[in-house]
Amino acid sequence: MPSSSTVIICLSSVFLRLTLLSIGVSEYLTTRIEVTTLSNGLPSIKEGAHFVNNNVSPYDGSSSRATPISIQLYQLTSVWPAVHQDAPHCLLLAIIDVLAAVLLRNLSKLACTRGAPPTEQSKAVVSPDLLMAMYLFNPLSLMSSAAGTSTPLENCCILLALHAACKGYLVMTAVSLAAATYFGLYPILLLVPLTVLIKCGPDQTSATQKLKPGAGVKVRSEGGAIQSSRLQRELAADLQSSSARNRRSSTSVVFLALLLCLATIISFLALLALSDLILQDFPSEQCLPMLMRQIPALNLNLSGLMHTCSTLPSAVQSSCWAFSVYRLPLLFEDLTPNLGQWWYFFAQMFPDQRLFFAFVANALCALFVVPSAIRFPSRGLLLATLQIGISCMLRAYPSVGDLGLYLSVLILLGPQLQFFKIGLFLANSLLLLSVLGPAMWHQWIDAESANSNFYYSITLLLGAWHVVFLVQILTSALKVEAALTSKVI
Amino acid sequence: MARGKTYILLWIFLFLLAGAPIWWKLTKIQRPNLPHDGMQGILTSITVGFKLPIKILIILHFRHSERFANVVLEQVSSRLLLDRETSPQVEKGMHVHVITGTNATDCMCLTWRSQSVMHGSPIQGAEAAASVRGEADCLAMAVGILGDMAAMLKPGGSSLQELSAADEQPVHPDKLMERLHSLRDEPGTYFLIVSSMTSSFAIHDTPEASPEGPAAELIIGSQRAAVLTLPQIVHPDSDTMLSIQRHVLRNALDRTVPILAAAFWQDYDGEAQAPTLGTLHPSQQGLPVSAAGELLLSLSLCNADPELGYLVWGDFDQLSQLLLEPVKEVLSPALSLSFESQVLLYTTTSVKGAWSDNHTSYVLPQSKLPRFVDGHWGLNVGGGSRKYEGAGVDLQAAVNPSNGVPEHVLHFVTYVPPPEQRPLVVLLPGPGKVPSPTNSFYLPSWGGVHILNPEVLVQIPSRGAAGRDRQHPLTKTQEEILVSSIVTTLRALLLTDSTDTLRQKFGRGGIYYFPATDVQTNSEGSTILGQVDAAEASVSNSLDGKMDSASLESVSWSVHFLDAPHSGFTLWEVDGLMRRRSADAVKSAAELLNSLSLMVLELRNLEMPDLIGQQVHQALASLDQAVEAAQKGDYANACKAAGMAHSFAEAAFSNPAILAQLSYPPSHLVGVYVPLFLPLGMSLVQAVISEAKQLRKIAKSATYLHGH
Repeated sequence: MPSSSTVIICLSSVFLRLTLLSIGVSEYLTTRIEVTTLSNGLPSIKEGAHFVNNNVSPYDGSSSRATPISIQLYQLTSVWPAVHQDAPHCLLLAIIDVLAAVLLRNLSKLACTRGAPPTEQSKAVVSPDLLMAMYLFNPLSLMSSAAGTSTPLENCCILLALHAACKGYLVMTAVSLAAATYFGLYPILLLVPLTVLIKCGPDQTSATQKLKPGAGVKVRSEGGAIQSSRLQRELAADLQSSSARNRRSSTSVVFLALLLCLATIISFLALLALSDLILQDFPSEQCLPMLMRQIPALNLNLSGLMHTCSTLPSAVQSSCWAFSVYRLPLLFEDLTPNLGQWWYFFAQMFPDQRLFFAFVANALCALFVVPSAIRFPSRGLLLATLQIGISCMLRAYPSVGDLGLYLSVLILLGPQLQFFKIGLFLANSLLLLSVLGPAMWHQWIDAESANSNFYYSITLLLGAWHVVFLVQILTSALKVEAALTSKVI
Repeated sequence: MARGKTYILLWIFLFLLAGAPIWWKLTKIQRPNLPHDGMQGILTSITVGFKLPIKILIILHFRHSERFANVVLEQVSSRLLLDRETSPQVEKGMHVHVITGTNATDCMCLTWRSQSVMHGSPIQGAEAAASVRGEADCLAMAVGILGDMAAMLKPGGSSLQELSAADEQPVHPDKLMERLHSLRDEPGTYFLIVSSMTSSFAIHDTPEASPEGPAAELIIGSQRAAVLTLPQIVHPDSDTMLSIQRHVLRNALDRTVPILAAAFWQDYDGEAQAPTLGTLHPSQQGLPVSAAGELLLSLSLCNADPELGYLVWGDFDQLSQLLLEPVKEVLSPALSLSFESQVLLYTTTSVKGAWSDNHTSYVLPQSKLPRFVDGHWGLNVGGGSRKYEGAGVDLQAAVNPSNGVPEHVLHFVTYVPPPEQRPLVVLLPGPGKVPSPTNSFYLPSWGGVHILNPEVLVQIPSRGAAGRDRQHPLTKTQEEILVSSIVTTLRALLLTDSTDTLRQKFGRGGIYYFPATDVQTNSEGSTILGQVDAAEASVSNSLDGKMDSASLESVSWSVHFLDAPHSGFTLWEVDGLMRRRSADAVKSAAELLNSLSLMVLELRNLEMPDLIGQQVHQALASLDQAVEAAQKGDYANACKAAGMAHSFAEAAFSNPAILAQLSYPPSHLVGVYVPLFLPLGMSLVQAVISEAKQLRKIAKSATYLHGH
């Protein structure tokens, strides 16, 4: 039973989002490149819906890159009677945001309390309700939801996957992961962290297994002995809260990953089928029939496999909506300025090198998944947070909504945040960048007194900020491990 | 933990190892194998040797005097065509056949072609012809002697005997061509009938008997025939009279045949003509057609002030069908003409006419014309009603080269000035300040402007009449004036300098009047240039006072150009257009292929799709077809193949895949790879060194422990 404060937070967040819509802020936000990108923006969704209403395939041309389910959701909500055309859609996104916040709240309970006595729960970094409020009233998430983007859907699916993984629900995790991948593609990189979460539970440090209760902890920090003793007490509680998931400790991680991968693929195929059902009026855009046509060519011999691999892209290119939607982040086709690091890079790239560097940019996102899992084999939440941060930094078309999720999930890491040395610097620098970015954009586009280099310098600084932030997270994680093993850092 | 670090390093190295073949595959430069030897060799081999051949059939038709005919033959041979120095066309592949005879059973046929001139003497042909003199039929004899002459004659046709029946004066070349239906009428084959005047000028022994000077007349028809009528002396058998005859003929031929040559084969060299009008002629800028030979004529009716009413197209489909279709039809062998129309309102211009009391109208001097068309008129292309048919060049090949090669557009603006500027007339250049007869002007490569001063629009009483009440369709007369102006502009933009100049001098100032009238009904249209001092001193002296030299020094001559009815372009003008277009297309294609080959060889990292290779091969094959057709004298196929070659070459050279690429040296790739991979590589190397040190330390410790 939710408390009254929870209900008030949820209702006020919905009210705030609708208020932003009614006063025209939402319409303005749809024009901001920081909030709306070609892959998640409301204009793309509305364009697709307009095409469908006129019996034209939404993927004819390049004006719509929204997924069929996003378009269908918009079409379903647009028939609701409302003063503002986009109000039902915005209301739906607000409800999804509330759902995401509730999931985050529950996740916080799972991750931060770590089985500590009720008297110790208040010593978590933030209370669950406050965490929920921080997510719902976070300006980044707020703008993303008010602008009608599909990012809240993706974020909610990610949080649902994390929550299900913490609970140990493999099927629910797979379905949520497939849904998040369907909306944003990059969440597929959470497969390994979610596997670790399912296996080891939330934030069970590998070092805790070696920690002897009552062992002294020496941490060279400003917190001094008081901080160290509290940390020692909290981390020691982890050891006492060995959950039922430890019973599966003998289960092979690889086997679990394969199982999760298989379940995710099946779930994704189900979503493809649902999308094809939505696009039943446009048979040429359906994906599964195209795949079924290709399967007979998939002979088990090598030559047949090679032939299929060589013919599949052309077939997909000609007849599948997924190619229209997912080629955008994979091939970096749209070079509209955004918060990412790649638009300027690819604008200056020699054309014959572009395909290779598109591969490099996407591979860079996936490069750190396995090494971080090797280094932190039992810290699923940390791995998920790192991967969300890396994706937020390196994805093709990031928006502020991705950053909002990143900062909210970060709080789940709990006590290790206290090892952040430059937290104030990071917060102030993010605040400064959030002001400088629109200012440089205004100078470049509106005032025409600057050029693209001015804006790109801000996105580069944002990338540097991400790197420093990630290094801080890793450093603090290493400090926790060191503290538990009585090392001096 | 050390094992974990090793696994991480191993993972990264495996990652990089797996990425290496992907890097190789994705950065491998794709380019088809091009026939560079053929692409570069074609420029020197084709552009020099590519000529569409010209066949000249000269028929010397004199029924009265064999000696006179011999004199004419001598003059024609030596002065007009067959002298190697003065007539270089013979060297370049022109075939000249001469049929001569004083009657139907006594004639001879001579032929000159480049091989004969190069390897032997034309006299040999003449002797061979003389040896069979006396055969029954002159043309039959010609066919018997010259095998290829048969190609010019239709079997079962008439002979010169039918030509003998043409005694009417003046001789009309077009009617003569109809009568000579046995002669094959095809592009590149021209007929010159040289005849004596029936009412011959008589040079008597006494100069008093010569009331007027000898006269020569050249009539160039609208098809492919011309009639040259030379003065004949009544008693030409004496040596003195023959000498005088020879002198008169020389003078007459010197004046008339260069004009004939300018009309029929002056553009044969395919080289740019020297400007004769003081400005750059459009012909020197290349034909305003696309590589595929397409030309879109955008007709815009621009009403400057529509408040009191404005002109609109009446029935443009009907106008196009009745008036413009003949023009399109006659030009179809050389280019594909299409039309579109639009009506624009409020098309004001910053150029204002100045009132002239002399002309009682507002006048526009030539200096103001370049700024007359305003950029804000919005002369859009592709938005109006359009009549378009398939291109003259078949582009439905396996690879369509017209992709990315837009058609050329010529604008023709009919400008209706505002009421306060009417009538507005364009003045011709020059000191006379004479109004332009067509009230129009053209801009090279852009099109033309015709100023229309309608009277009906002024009669609208009230300002602000709404809707269709203010619309006035063009009248029939206005449409005909417009068509005349359009064709005149097209002629100025398409024809060669020499042809246009000739028309301007001899054919009503180069203006086409619709409907066209021929010379018999409008003989005043032609221009007689007048008396020319022709006699040379030596000739005068040779006369030795036996006749009045003054009467010989003045040989009057006249030239008549017959207009093509309805179409505006004569067949021989279209032939010249085909020669010019095919030569231009072949030259452009060869230059483009050569440039493409040089560029590809120079830029080793230039990536190209396979389509470019296919287009290059298609262009080379089309060039071969053009050369083959040219050797056969097949104008239509040669022009078509040349156009296709140009289109394919243009499409290959202008392929967006090439144009979109940046040209950079391979060393610039260092700048591409270093910023991203150097930091990663440094970190990896540092980690590897650290691990190696760690392993070495462990090994040392183990050794130490093992030793102790």
